[in-house]
Amino acid sequence: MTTLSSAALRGRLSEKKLNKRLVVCPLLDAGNQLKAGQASIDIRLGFEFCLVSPSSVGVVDEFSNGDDRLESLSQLYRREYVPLGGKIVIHPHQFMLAQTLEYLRFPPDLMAYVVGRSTWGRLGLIVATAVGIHPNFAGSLTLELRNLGETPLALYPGQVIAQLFVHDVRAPNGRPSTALAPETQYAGAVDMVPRRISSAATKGTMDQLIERFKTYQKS
Amino acid sequence: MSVSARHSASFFLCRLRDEVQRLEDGQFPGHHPGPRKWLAFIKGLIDTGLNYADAAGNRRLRPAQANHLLYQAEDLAVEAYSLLAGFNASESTRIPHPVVAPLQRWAQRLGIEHPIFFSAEHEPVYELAWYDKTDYSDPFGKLASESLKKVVAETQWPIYRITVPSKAMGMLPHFAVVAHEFGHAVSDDIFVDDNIPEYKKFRRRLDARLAKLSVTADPVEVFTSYSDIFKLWMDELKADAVGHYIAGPAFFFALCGFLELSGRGFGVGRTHPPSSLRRQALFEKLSTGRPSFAAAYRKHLGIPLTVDISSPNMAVFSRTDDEPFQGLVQPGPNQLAPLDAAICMELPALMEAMAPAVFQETLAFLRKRCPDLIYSASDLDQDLSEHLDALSAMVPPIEQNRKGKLSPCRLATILNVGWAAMLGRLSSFGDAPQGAPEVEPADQLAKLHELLLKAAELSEAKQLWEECQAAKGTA
Repeated sequence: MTTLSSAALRGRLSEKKLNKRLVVCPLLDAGNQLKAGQASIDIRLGFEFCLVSPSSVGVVDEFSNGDDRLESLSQLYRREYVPLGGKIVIHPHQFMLAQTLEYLRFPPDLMAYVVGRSTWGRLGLIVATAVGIHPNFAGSLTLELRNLGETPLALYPGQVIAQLFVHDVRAPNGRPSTALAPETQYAGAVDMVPRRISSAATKGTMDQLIERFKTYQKS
Repeated sequence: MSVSARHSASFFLCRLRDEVQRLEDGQFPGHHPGPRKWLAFIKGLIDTGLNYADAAGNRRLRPAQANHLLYQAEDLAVEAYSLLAGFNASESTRIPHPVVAPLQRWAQRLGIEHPIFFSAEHEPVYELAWYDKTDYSDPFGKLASESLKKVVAETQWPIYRITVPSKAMGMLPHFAVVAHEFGHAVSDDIFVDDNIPEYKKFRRRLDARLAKLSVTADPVEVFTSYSDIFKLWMDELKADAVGHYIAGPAFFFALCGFLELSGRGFGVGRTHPPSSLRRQALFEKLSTGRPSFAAAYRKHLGIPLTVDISSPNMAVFSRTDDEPFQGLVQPGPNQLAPLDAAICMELPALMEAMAPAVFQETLAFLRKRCPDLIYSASDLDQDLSEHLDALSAMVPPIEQNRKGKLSPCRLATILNVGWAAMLGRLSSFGDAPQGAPEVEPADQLAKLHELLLKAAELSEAKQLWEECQAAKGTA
């Protein structure tokens, strides 16, 4: 697996062919976000945040058909919009969703891992729990933030919050992959709230399994 | 006087004051003082109302005097309440906030220095209202609150309120109509000579129509009515011209779509020329010139622009048709007197003749005041080349590449690329690869809207960042 250097990343960012172009936009300060000699792109904190708020939902159970069935995962979250220049505070042990400022679009032959910055890590801020970005991803990246430290932290939209390490994706013949994703939950996604947990196929099978299990339990 | 009446008025005013405080603690989209100035004015009214309510409790007053003071307090409470109701949908949660800051830039570049606030309604409506309270504290004399006097003195009146559809109703490309509303704010600065030969033809036709209707009107009355309606219609045409020059074809599509949605009539009345006249005037501007906007559409989308492309059901006005006239004189809240109705029937021909001059003078005005805001056919061609395919591949128009330099896209770019995608690329937009489930057009439109909002938000962020970097550099 090859990791792209900052020079290689620059090349892919300015690629003329749309299907090969890596989009990380806007880079507010390209010189500092893509430093020479390094192998990552710094990404910044965006403007929208979702905080888990108290609700009457007892448990997140996507296969439940009872009163705790989750019609929409958005019930769990309260949105906050923070403009450039404003701030939001993440308290110790608090969890929230955030977005990258940059909009990302990955061609079929690139993927990335989101890694937190060590400075934030030392302050107790975990920046991402779902760290992989698949090829063909398009959208604003959702970051899962958790403050594991003991001190409240002020977060400002525009702050560098994480970094992307970008890797080649190869087809079985060793050449750059050209496969397009058949169904991507987050294609062009700009909303943080998860839309579903399992794919339609998995849900269908799980529903069958759960029914069978219930029937077995009763007999 | 009734103590409980006075206490009720004070209680009402205190609750209003709490509501103002709640709003002041909230978030408003954009970076402008408009919302807070307006809230400060409302708070000033409330404080003045409380002064009146307190004064009404003076036992040395005669009952009539006390009641009069209470009446004033109640009046102020009602006024504050109604202004708050009009303001209430101004927070970030109700308005599609990414679009506010770019729209404010339009206002700024057009030279509109007055405070502006945006308000959202749950209906497809675009409106500019203005509030001029320059001498508002004077009538209240000693009972005018310090807060009211301060805000009246320190504000550059009028304050403008722009009403747009709420997040639930609005679709970003349609916001091009806001350009027209800004056009109203500057229309007095655009001078168009109305002394043209066609005026005599208009007068002959009007006189003939009035004679046919057996309407005898004093010449002064005729001229006064004509002048009033002419000025209002001219304002609309100038505002349309401003919309065209700063928003390009996006304004044409958005306006026609809006006029189609907002009613099935001819759109003609005391305040507005017929919708079909406005549409035709704009369409002619899109179709002429080298290069033309229409040519850019043909080149990139293979679509011929037609006058009714986004308004197939718009009724076409004709002065020989009796239906518009009957609509104007029909009993109802918008009923016109026969004289005004006759003027509305004959004026379109004159306005049609004046339209080229209106557009010419508007262009001259914009070239002097804000040439960088003008959106040309070449701009459209370049934008479609750079962004249309990208948008279809889920890459919104956030930055543009001009001579190797990346800069934030203008709002006009985002709106026009959005309209092009809506009109000509929706079927391929966000297409699932072979074998995958189909995507519904409504879902595609919703996705497009999200992406365009994101483009507006991020291009504005880049713009702000660059301004701050530049300011840091000069500091």
